[in-house]
Amino acid sequence: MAHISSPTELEGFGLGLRAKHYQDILAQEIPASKDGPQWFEALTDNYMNDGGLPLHYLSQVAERYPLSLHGVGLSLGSTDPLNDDYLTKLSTLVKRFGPRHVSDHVCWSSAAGVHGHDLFPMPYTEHAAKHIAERITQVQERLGQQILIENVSSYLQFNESYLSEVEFLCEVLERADCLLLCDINNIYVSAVNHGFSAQDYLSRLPGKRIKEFHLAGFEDQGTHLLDTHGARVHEEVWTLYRTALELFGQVPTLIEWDTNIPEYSVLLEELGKAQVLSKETLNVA
Amino acid sequence: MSLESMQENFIKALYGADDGTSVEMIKTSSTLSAQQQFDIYKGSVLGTLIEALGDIYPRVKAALGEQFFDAMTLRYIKTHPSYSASLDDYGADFPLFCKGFEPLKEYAYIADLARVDLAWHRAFHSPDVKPLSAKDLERLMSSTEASERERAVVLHPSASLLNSQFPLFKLWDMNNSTLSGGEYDEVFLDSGSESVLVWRPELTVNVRALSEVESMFLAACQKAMSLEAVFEQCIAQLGVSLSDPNILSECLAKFLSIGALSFEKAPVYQSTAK
Repeated sequence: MAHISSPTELEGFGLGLRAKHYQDILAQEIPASKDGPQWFEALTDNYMNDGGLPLHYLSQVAERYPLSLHGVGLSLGSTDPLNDDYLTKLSTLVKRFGPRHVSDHVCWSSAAGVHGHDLFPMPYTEHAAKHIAERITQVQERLGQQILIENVSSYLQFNESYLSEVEFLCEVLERADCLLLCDINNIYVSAVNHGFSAQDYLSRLPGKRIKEFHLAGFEDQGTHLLDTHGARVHEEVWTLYRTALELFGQVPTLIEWDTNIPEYSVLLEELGKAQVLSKETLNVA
Repeated sequence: MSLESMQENFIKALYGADDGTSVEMIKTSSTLSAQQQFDIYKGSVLGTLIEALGDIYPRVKAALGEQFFDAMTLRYIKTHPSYSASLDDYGADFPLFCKGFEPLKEYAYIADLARVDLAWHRAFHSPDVKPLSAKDLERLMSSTEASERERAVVLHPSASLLNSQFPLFKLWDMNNSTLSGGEYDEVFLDSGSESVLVWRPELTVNVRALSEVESMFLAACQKAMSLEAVFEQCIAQLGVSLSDPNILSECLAKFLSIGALSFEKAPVYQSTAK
C-alpha cells in the first residue's frame, strides 16, 4: 500500500483566497500580524490551468502565507471512475505549493460523464459510505497524504437513506482513515432543512479527526436555508461554533465568502469575531 | 435502485431529461415537496452554467443584453451538458450554437464575436510560454546547424488568429468598452472585414486588429514552416505587384516585438520561477 502521510497542522485563523482580494492580501505586512489571517485557502479548481494570472497570484500568496487547497471537483461519491486528469492536476498543485490541507466534499457532482458543478448529497447507506470511502482511499494513495472531507449543506434527502448524515460521515471517516473539515455553517443549514439537532450532530463527531472549521453565511429562503457563502456568519452559526470549540478545543478556522464578495475589511471583521469568540470560549489570553 | 442509476437519473434530470424517477427518489420535507427540493439543485446547476458562459463570453453578453443572453444560454445548456470537471472547459461549442441560433439570424457577427471571447478565455488560461524575441531569431538564423535555421516559427501557443467578414475588432472593442463603461464609436457592420489576433505574451491578454498582409503572414506561420517558407508563401500570395519583401520584414519585426510568435514546441516555463 502507498505511504499516506498526515498533513502538517495549520494554526489559527485563515481566509478563503478570492481574486477580488489579491491586491489587499499582497499589500499586507509580512510577517503576518497576529490579528490578521495566518493562512489562506485557495479554491483548487480555480488554479488547475497551466499558466496565467491566477497561478501568478497564488504563487505570490504562497510565498507569504501557508496555504490550504479546497476543491469541489473530485466528485468523491460518484459512480464514475475517478477523474485521472483532475487528479494529475491536483497532484501537480500539491507538489508545487505544498499545501497544509487538501480537501474536498462528502458528495458527488458528476455521473455518466456529465458534470453538475454542484455538491449533491449521497444517499446515507452503508453501501454508499463504503463506496465513497474506497475512493477517498484511492485519492489519498495517489497524493500520498491524508485529505480532509467536508460535510455539505443539502436541500434534499434520498428515500434510500437509513443512516443519519452524521452516522454516514463518521462511517466514511473511519473507513477511509481521512480527516474532517467540519463546516459549522453547513451543519446548521442541513439541520434546519432536514429537522435534526445541530448540537447533537456536533457532539457525535470524532474530535481527533477534525482539522479545520469553516464558517460562512447562508440565506433564509423561507422554506429552507440556502448556503450561499454570500453573507456574514449568522448568530446561530456563531453559537454553534462556540459549542464546537467547547467540544473540540482550538481548531484552525476559516472564513469563506463566495458570492457578493465584499471588501477585504469585512472578511477581516468576521475573522476578528471568530478570534474573539474563540478566546472567550477557551479562556486563552 | 443502484447508486449508479440513481446518480445517472438525477444528473440527466438536472439538464432537463426528466422522466420523474429523480423526484421519486427524494423524501418529502416538512416545508418542501420532492419536486421543489430537486428544483433547488436544478436552479443552482443552471445558474452556475449560465454564469460560467457569461464569464467566458462577456462581450457577447454585453452585445445581446443580460436577459436575451441568459435565455439563450439556457437553451444551449439543455442541449450541451458539461463533460468536464472544469467550468473553464465549458461552452466551447457556444460560437457554433450562436451561428445556428434562429433568433440571431440577422446578427451573424455575434458568432464571430463569441469566437474572440473564447480565444481570450483560452489565452488567459494558456500555459506560460516565453515569446520568441528578435534576439532569439537572430541567434537561430546565424546557427551553423541547418536544422536550427529551418526551425519552424509559429504563432505563440496562447494565440488565436480569427478572420471575419465583419469589422470584428471594432465590434469586439465596442462591446469591451461597454463592459468597462467606457466610450466607443458606433460600428457599421458593412465597414469591411477585419481579422483579429488574440494572444498573451506575459500576464495580460491582448487583442488587436490585423491588416490583410499581417493576417496572411500569421496564417502562414500557423502551418509550422521555416521562416523562409513563410516568406515564400506570402510573396506568392501577394503577387508580383505587391511583393515588396519589406512589408513582410516589417510584419515579422512587429510580431516579434509584441510577443506573438514562438518556436514550435517552445519550452513551458513558470512565470514566477526565480
